[in-house]
Amino acid sequence: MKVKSRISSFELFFVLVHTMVGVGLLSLPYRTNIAAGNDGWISVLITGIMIQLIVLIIWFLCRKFPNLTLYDFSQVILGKTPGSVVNLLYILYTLIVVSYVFVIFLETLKRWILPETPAWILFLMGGFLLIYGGTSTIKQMVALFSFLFLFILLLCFIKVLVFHDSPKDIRYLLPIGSNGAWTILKSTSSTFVSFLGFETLLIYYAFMKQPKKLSAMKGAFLAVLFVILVYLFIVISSTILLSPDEINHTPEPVLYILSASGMTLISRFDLIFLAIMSLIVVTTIISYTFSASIGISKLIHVKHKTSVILFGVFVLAVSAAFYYLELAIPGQWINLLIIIFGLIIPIILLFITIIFKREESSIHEKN
Amino acid sequence: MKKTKLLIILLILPLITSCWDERLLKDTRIVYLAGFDTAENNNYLTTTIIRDIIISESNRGHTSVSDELVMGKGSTMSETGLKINRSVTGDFDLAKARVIMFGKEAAEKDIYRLLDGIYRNPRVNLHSKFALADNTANEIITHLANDEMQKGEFLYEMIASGEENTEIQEITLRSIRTYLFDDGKDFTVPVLSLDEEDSKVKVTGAALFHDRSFTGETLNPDEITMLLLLMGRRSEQAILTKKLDGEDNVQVSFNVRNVSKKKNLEIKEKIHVDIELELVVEVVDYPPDHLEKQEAIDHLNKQLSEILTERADALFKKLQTNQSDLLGLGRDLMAYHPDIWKEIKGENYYEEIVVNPKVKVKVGKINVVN
Repeated sequence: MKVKSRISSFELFFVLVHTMVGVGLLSLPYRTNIAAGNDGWISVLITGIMIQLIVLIIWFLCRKFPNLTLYDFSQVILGKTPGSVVNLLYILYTLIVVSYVFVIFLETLKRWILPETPAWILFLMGGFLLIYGGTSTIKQMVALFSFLFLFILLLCFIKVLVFHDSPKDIRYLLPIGSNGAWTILKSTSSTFVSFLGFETLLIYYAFMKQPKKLSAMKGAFLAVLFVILVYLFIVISSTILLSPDEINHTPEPVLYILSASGMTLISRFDLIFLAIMSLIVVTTIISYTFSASIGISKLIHVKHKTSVILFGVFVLAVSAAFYYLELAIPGQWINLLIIIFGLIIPIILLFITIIFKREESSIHEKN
Repeated sequence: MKKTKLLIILLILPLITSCWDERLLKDTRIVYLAGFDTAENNNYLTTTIIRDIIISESNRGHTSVSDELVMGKGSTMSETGLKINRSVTGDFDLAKARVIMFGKEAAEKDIYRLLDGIYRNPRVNLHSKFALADNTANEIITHLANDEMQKGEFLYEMIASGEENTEIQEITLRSIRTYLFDDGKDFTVPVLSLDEEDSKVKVTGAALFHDRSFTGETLNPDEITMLLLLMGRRSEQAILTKKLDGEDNVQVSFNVRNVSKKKNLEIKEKIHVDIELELVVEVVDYPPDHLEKQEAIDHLNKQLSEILTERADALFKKLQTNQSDLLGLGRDLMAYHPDIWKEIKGENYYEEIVVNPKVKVKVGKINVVN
């Protein structure tokens, strides 16, 4: 694929951070606590390290095909038709992930701040933002994301402020490792879903300025590191602030802690937090839409704008169906999907590339 | 292109006005204070003072405030809320509640069951204070309703100032939930009572809780200050007044400047916990004076240490009989000695723990006068 504008390693950082930080953050401490008790933070750390390794694998794969997205090199590696099948699967996967994020966030919004607002309004607003944001160029997207990064910092600041102000009990973290190594390892499967978004690197790497150099990956590694640190803070602070049994009864501990804090001037930080969080969740959706639309336009040969609209309509249809029929998309499915599409398929592709010595030049030979 | 964009914006505008979730001040009935009691036949009684903001149309929008006492009976908390809704215009809304009060009898049951509905409502202000009425909450709120100035804010301020003086444990609805779900930690809440003589509501002490219900035992303010110091908490100031032995009618008041605590655990037949508390105090009131002499200070140190150790000992006996683990010793065991905890865990684990407190007082800085 020919890309008109390129992004630096620094800009890749913003894109990945915004794709990864999203709706998974709100319920992370709840999920880790159920799976690994007070050792949830270890589980986050292990998952984070695993994600770094996966990012490394993705880099090994992508550097063989500079300037090509997954949708291009899948056909180089597997051949025309199987490649198209993989592309289609990736697009469907993105569709499910975006719908999942949509539904989960909508339910959270309705539960916490907008109980009376009809859901279709929120669907329409989300759909509009998805299409509007998705049709932008990568440069515009990076500009938006780097600006909104300030809001992620603001959210962290609010969390630190409230953490500082609340009664704490460090003993809730102890004894470290009491749940046993096996439980902690098993629990990583439920933290994976919070790191959703790293696999978009398969597409965004094509936009890198100097794809062959390791320095190109600096942005990606730093992005994962940043997300790990934010998540560690969220999980550790929630464990210290709430008693173990209490977290098990609180599906959104992050918001709950904020809702219960009161300062002289402001109370109910959860309302502010969720309002800002909406922006961050929208960036996740925009980023996924952008990446999927590249695949759609490649698959059925339409313009980027048309494919964004197509994708948006499908997302609205799927998420509305799930929402109104009250079907829950189980988190475990999403977990499984991430492992398949974020880890297994890239590894298979990498093996084929190495064994059969596939390279970018092979397209030129064919042409 | 420009036109289509404009059209899209115009189409989207009506969607973002978000008038569905607006809550107008004129429609809601703001509750600053709510009290829950038990009533006959397993029913509950909710008593609140509802604030009404009246915007008069004749007087150019001049606003005035009136308070109204309302009650509702029902078999659950939310049913009592519904009953109240039927008797007033607008919605009964706990979003602005500053103080939630429980009657004594209601608190002797599992209080989480009563609070559940409150925690489920996302609009409730979890930062509000929690208090126990020494008789019924109804009695106190009815009294407050008749008293023009003293309403929910008054109780809130009274409790807050008690916290500043280290006479009340800092407790909000939010922190109570943490304690209720924690097997190894208990808490106290301030007790309010109506003084018949000067007909005023006063904080008279703190109620000991065990697990999820009131034990029936209360501590007086002096004991709570001691307890909070043992917990290592000291707010802006903590003033204690003690009568010295051997000397006639000599009282000394002192403010605790600094607290340091050492805990040591020893396992014999039972679990022995030695707590060594070191207090650096400043004398705020000591008529006999002579504090410029080292001997006088030593003498005072020794006497105060003895008195306070004795008090602390009595306090722990009281906690032991009520099984109220305010220092979170159970939590300590869970965190640092999980294998011991496994053996004794259960509702009455405190029986296995013996606490030997030792208090050391050091008179520090001298005031303006010697």
